[in-house]
Amino acid sequence: MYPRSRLDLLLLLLPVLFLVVFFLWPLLYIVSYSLISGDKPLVSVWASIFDTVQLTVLWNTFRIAALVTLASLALGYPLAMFITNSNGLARNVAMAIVIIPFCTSVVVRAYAWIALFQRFGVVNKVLMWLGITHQPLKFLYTELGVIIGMTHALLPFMVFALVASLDRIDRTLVRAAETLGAGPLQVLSKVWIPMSMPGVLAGCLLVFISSLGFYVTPALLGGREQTMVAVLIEQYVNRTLNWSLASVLGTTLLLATCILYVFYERISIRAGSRVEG
Amino acid sequence: MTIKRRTLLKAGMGAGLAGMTSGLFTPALAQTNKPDHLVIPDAGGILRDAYKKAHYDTFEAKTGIKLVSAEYMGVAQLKALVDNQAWGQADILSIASGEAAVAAKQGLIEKIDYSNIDRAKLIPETVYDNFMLTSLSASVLAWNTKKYSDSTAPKTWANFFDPQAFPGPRGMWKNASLTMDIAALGAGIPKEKLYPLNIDAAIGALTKIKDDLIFWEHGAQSAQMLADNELDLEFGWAGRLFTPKKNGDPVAYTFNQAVLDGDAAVIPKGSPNRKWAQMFVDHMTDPENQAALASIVPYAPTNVDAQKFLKPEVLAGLPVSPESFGSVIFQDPIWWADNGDAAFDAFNKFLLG
Repeated sequence: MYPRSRLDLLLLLLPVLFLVVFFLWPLLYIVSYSLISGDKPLVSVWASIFDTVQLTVLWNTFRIAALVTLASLALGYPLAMFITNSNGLARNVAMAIVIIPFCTSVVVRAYAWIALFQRFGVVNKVLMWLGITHQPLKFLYTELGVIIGMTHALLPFMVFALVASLDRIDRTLVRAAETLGAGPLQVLSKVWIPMSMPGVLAGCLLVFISSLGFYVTPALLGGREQTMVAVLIEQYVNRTLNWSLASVLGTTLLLATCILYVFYERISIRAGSRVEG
Repeated sequence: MTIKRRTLLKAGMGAGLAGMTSGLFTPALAQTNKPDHLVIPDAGGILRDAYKKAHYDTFEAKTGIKLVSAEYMGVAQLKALVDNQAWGQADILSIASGEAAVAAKQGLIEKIDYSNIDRAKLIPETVYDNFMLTSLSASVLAWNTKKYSDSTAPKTWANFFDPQAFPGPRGMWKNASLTMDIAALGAGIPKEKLYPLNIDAAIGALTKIKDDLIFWEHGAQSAQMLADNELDLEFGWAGRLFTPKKNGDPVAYTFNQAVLDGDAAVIPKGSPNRKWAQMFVDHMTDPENQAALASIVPYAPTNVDAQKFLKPEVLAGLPVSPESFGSVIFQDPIWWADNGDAAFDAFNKFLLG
């Protein structure tokens, strides 16, 4: 902590004001809808998240978010390792591969997946031409389709967090481990992975929290059963005008996110102190 | 005990902030003089262009009041508008008839004044106390012409719900409204007995075909899925399927048992420009304007006299043509406004289970 000057505070005023007016205030407004239920008792509105529909959708949301996080980590870690260990052209090309889809609209990407995955789309045509399958396989409107589409959309977040963390690892530690006779796998498990835990945690948290609120991809690539909570909230807000239930669901997501964040802060402080200490 | 949400928030958050946010939307003055324009949130896209040519421009020529389109406003935004008296955002709305009925039930819209409208010329199912349909959209049974020919294609919703006789993946809208009305028809319920809608029968019919059922979310998606051979059969909107069909995509549809809903005109409750908005509602019943609209996009007129101004080939492509009108079914928006919660709940359970 260093003593703050007046100028510092003045510079802070504008962003803080912006966040209060355009973020905090509307957020409190939404939360207020979950606390004031009009003619229905408050308990019954909150209890309705335990109805089959709400519970199933919340379970879907958290399950899909967890699977997307795992898939992003499994794909993102090797990619981040490659990026951090390469220089010049290779690094730039690899980064571009991550960044370019990131700049494309989620809607466009969802439609691209539809074109690839549909009944007589590219993927099924190739599989049938190779004789791997005779009937077109069903990728679209399944959980697999949603997970592939969302992993693709969120992979950049994971890679950015991992690369930032991996880049900071002191390479002399890697060389020291190698000098002391550690093989590549041991270097990975003893140096890279433990040292990159803050990045892994940050990436997982970022991907998981973003997944919770995903709307477009599950709506377009998902089937009957893959309704996620954002879709349900939209339905309550726009179609049935059940704003208190929509707000209860939104507040539930907000709480889950806050709890995860506190959890993350705790762990990352511990992980961070181990690395630095 | 009822606490007004806004009162509590104002008390809790400090009147300064509350004043600031609501101040953004406060109308300058309650206006009764003739305005130079009216703001109309509408469906957008090609439908907006058609409404502009048929209704907005002609109204401006007649009265000097310009109609300014805005982004589509659903009931949720309408409620926010009326609660905050944010009049500048909408003087009149073109809104889906199902949403209009919900808005009426919530007390968000004015009564329509029919005293200057020749009500006898309007199709009775398009006239309601608080809203009036201005064009009709048809939910039709469509098929992929590579899979079915005109003679082998299903003719009725009962056929559509019979995957043994009519195999292949079939698409429906991922929405309780219209999908459940059609499912009930598919269960064999005759059109005179469709309402009150039998929710269990509708869900039963959907459950029977769930292994062959694929849901689409948006109208554009439904047209694309049929044109790309993703689906063999579907319930789609004639207004969306019309262009792919004309362009030679493998798309065909029938108006037999088409379910009709439409865009309705509504006036926000308490709007200072309601007198002028009502004048525009009167204007939209004009048969020549309605015919002009239907000639641009295949959304059918609600005024029967409009048919006189339509070319025979255009009329044949509309669900109100003499050949088709006998078999079409009007969705009952009032039933949906009263029972939407139960229907959506049952539909969501079906989706997840």
